[in-house]
Amino acid sequence: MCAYAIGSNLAYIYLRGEFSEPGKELEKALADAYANGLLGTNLMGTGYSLDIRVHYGAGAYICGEESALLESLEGRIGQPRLKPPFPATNGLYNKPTVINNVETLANVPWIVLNGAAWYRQFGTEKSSGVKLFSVSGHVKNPGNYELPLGKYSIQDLLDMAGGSSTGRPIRAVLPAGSSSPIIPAVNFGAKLDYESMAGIGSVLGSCSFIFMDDSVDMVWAARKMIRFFKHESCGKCTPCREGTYWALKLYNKLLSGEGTLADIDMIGEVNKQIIGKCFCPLGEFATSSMTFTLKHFKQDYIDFIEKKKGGTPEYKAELARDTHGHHAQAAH
Amino acid sequence: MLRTNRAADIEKVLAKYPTKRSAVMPLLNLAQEEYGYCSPEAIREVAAICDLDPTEVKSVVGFYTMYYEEKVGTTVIDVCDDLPCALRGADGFIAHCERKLGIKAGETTANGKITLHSVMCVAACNRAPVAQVNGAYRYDLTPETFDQMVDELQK
Ligand SMILES: Cc1cc2nc3c(=O)[nH]c(=O)nc-3n(C[C@H](O)[C@H](O)[C@H](O)COP(=O)(O)O)c2cc1C
Ligand code: SF4
Ligand code: FES
Repeated sequence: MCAYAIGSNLAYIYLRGEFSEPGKELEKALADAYANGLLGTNLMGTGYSLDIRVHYGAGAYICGEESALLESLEGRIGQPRLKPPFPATNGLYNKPTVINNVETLANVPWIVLNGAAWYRQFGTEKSSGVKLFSVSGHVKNPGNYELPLGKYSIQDLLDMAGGSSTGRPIRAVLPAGSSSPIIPAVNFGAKLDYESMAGIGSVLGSCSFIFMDDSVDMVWAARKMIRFFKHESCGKCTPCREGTYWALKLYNKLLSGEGTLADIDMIGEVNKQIIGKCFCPLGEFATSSMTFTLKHFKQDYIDFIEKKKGGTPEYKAELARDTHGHHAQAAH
Repeated sequence: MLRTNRAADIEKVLAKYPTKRSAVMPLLNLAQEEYGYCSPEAIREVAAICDLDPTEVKSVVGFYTMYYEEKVGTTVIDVCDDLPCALRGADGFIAHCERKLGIKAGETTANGKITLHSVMCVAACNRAPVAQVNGAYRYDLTPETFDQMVDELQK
């Protein structure tokens, strides 16, 4: 319907490369659609034709960013493009292009069938409709939950997911994965909509809720997140490429047991060098884990140093694995 | 030769895109299936098919983590130890994998059969510890199920 609305005869589904297995299901569904005259030429006698093809990534988070996705689809390394021009005017092969998430598109048939007013009965004035919440971490029943926006609170979501899986109290949640401002449990009364989340200094974003119990050390958690962003930085701009590199070095130092209180300030400094200076939002995402664990859980950092929590065999093993363990993306 | 061994697949891939350049990623997948990794020869062949300079193809290989620049084992086991999985024991689990295989993550067993990687989130955080074995998901792993799988592969 989206392709029809903009008069396009060609659509690509960009699937991350790790999804070769689910991709087979998708390709089968597309083959079925072709076989049943829902894709191909002259659809249902309208004269309108549409091809949908699947393109697989090959392990690069940044290719979810729309302009990096276009680069990747054109056979290049996935580095974001300068905007403007925006994809709507100069997109794939320099042609006007619409890029949407599959969840967005999945709402369209229901809205077309039942009307906008019907859809708007779900959600709030500013956050209309339903959303998929993907819940992970220390909960009994992790998985996807589809909920109307604005009706339930973070605590409700936690309860729906069966509550804590460890028997220990939940301490905090990341509402949109590693890129989002962490929310301490005192704010779990906030409703799941854009305005309420903004009200508690966070975001709804991708709605990938990672719940953490009170055994989680925020220094360790922040390091995991920085490691992710350092790994996924596309290398195009210096603040993100170098900033995530130095930040990870500092966190590694803390984990190895060699950190000092001065390193905590240094993390704040490195963070400042990244914020607001990046070419695309990924660099900004990377700062969230530092900014907000420092804001809400600074005592974890101080304790980490003062109570000499670093340097345990587990942390050392984790660090050793990191230096050579994964198949790193080459820096450009 | 990719061109002779996979001619039909290459045609299919090229037909998917209006430019040859766009075919570089799926062609690298074919090359990797064929050669086990993106060897210099594979890179030259893909470059020739796409009318690109081999250095351009090499930069694509270097950028994306799923293209291997060096030989890997017959079976590649990617274990996720990103944050959500780590909250459910992935760090201890991957340490077990290393012990069982007698290698460190990033290495290949001496008999060339198994490569172990630690990878970032593969979007199955609800089923951690999780691995992809030559691309296929293995969910809710335990040291026991991992050992069984490895014993099977090592036969
Ligand atoms: C670093 C980065 C990664 C992203 N990854 C994804 C992704 O995996 N999937 C996605 O739909 N959008 C992702 N986005 C957002 C897209 O750029 C784009 O805004 C979105 O796909 C638009 O579709 P929507 O309006 O339907 O949400 C990402 C953005 C950034 C900056
Ligand atoms: S912010 Fe990071 S991911 Fe984005 S363009 Fe710069 S280096 Fe690449
Ligand atoms: S963190 Fe391991 S699959 Fe998501």
